[in-house]
Amino acid sequence: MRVSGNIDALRSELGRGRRRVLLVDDYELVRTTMAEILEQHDFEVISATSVPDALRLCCNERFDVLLCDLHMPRPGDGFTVVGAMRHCNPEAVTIIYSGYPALGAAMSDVLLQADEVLVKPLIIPELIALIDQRIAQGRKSVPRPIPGDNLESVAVVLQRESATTIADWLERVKASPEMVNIRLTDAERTAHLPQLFIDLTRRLLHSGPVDAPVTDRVPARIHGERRREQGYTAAQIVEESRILQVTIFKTLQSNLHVLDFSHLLSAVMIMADEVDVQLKEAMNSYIGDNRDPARIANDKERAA
Amino acid sequence: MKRVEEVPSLLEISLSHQERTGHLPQLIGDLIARLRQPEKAERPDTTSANDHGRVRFNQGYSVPMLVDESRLLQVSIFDTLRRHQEGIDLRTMMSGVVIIADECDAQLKDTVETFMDLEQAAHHDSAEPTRPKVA
Repeated sequence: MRVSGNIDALRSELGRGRRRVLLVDDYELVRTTMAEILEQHDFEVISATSVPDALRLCCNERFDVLLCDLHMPRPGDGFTVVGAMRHCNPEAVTIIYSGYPALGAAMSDVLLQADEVLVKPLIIPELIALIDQRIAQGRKSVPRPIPGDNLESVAVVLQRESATTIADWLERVKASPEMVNIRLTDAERTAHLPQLFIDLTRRLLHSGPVDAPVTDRVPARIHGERRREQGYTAAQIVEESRILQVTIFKTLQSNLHVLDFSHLLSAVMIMADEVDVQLKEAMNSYIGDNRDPARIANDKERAA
Repeated sequence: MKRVEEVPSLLEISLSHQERTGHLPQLIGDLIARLRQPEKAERPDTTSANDHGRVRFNQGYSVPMLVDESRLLQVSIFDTLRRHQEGIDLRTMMSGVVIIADECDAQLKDTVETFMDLEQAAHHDSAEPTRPKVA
């Protein structure tokens, strides 16, 4: 290597050569192949296999780029990781990819908050060029859903703050004397929350009435079954849900300076409704006495 | 009540208006008391939610039905606030929203706790439980 007389320039050059990428994909083959190719192009690649792993990494380490599959494995999981990355590493370039062309086209940047949405198969030279270009430009500013205004919708705030809100919720749950007798890892405790935040954000972005039917809430039912296996009481599940609602509303409270007040109370209604709908679904499977066997079998099949 | 009447699973239990709403004046009174307290004050002790769990158990409810009723109550309260938002200082309103959600769910938890205790007692009792079953 030719050493120039300017140490700062050299450091800068070396730093540029080791740009850090967080690669999030649940398929090992995709992870290893992409990591290998990116490392050949002077990227340092840190891989995550799941949403909880990705959330932990992006909130504890510095990254220049996020490359994330949209389906991890559930549709829209990548959306949660982008939100966390934007919160913890606001300068990072965020790129989502999906194997579903129609979905890629339908998901707007406003919904995903990502810098780029790519459809698989990824063409590596184009991907590298895109990353270089994005880093050179500096990442684009957070999309604002209200043109000409500095205010943000509740959905945008909730999405941006989802990782922080989950961390805050976990802290409150751990501080609750009646919850500490259930010994779980943080990942086990929070496993249901990324999907719940996705469902909440979708409800908020949906312009229908408050009690509009939403997609089947299989994850909430699986959550109820898991909590039963983990030894929770029904009251403890309600207590966790209470802490969740309080934490979400406190997140909004601490973001009042950027919130668009015109739809704030409608959003509060939707969020209270969604959290309790999911609690009811969890209770249905926890209690387990009013589920028909075909539904249980169907849930297990979908979960698998 | 209008919202409850639109949920078929809740209508499986046939109740009078008074039986359906009997717990609400006390709950709303508790909510108002909480909202008037200083922010960091402790939640006052109340047994009304436990009493409500006992009543609903004897009326043949299930836990998901209790959750559903509580959900409809919260949505109705926030809808009331929304319809009167012109007269509300929205910057202080969010602390009220936090308290309302906290109190409703804390009472739901107490209700569920009592309900499940009764359910377990009935289950372990050799005699058949006397409460009616949901159709």
